[in-house]
Amino acid sequence: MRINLDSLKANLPAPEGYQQGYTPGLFRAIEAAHHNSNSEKVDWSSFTLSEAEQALEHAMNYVDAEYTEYELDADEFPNEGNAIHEYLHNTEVIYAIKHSVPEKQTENVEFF
Amino acid sequence: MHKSYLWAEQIGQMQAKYDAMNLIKIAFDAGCDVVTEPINYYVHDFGSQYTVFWECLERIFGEVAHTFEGMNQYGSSVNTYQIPMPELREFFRIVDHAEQGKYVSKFMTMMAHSDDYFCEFEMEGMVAGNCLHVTLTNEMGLYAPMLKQLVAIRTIVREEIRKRKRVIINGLRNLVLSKMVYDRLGIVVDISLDEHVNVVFSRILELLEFNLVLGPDDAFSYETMIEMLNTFLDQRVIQTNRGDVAA
Repeated sequence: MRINLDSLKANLPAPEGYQQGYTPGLFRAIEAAHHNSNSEKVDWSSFTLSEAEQALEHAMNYVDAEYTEYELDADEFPNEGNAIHEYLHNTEVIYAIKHSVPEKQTENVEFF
Repeated sequence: MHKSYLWAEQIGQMQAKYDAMNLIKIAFDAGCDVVTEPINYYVHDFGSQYTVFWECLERIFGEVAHTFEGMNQYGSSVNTYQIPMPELREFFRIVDHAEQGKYVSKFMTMMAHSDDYFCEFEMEGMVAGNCLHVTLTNEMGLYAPMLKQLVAIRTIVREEIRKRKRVIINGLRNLVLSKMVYDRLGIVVDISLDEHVNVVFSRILELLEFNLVLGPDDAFSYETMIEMLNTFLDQRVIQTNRGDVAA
């Protein structure tokens, strides 16, 4: 299955104001915390200490599922805008896309 | 979109891991090799990032001594550490007496840190001749901000030593240059030792009626200056002697 990145990009909504403050380094730091446990596998120059601190701050402000499920109204999204939340969300979406089965099983099916 | 992808327990573990990741980043930025000698920063639950903190502390500062482990009168756990900082010895020799107290209280303020999220987790510290004595009260909290403060103190100490050494060297160079002129020609050059050696050198050349104006940013090695000045002074002395003979 192929994912056409150009048409995916064209269909993405414009980034929200807060997202424009998110630097690539912030997400490198998030990746280092989520996908690695061994310091030799991480490119430590790919993010700054202040980006790592920013990532830690997002982790500290992440709201747990117990609370969001049972304590909040349906229209409250406390984790919206949290870089870690968006990262986890995107990881899940990409996983779902990769593992979804196209309706028509042909060679030329292209997503987006 | 899910409202949250993680349960409370998982979040605690995640926060500890982010803290551990920050600790390693601080060690990396402080010049420690965390790639060929890797540190495992898997953290099982909140609080276990302490092992990463200890590892980074030792890598950055060398042989840290865990000097006390116990409880205070309120039942909180207390841990004290002696963190070697041999640079302090040189630092306190190089800064003048009045500034010593200013720096000691500045460093103590930097070490007096309480956690933004876990307000009972606190650090305080004292400055000794060649080390820092640090006390951590309680254990649950973020370690990275504490380590960052300790490294920041060492950075200030190192920077200040480097800066002041540069000033001293500059002054000595000015002294040598003007002494050379005095010894050979008997002229006292009117300069201040605080001025940049390039400026002083230009002034001396001007005195010798040689036009070369250098600014502080010009890359002109001290060795070259000495060599040039020697040549000019030789010429000057020969000319003067000739004049004497003619007279």
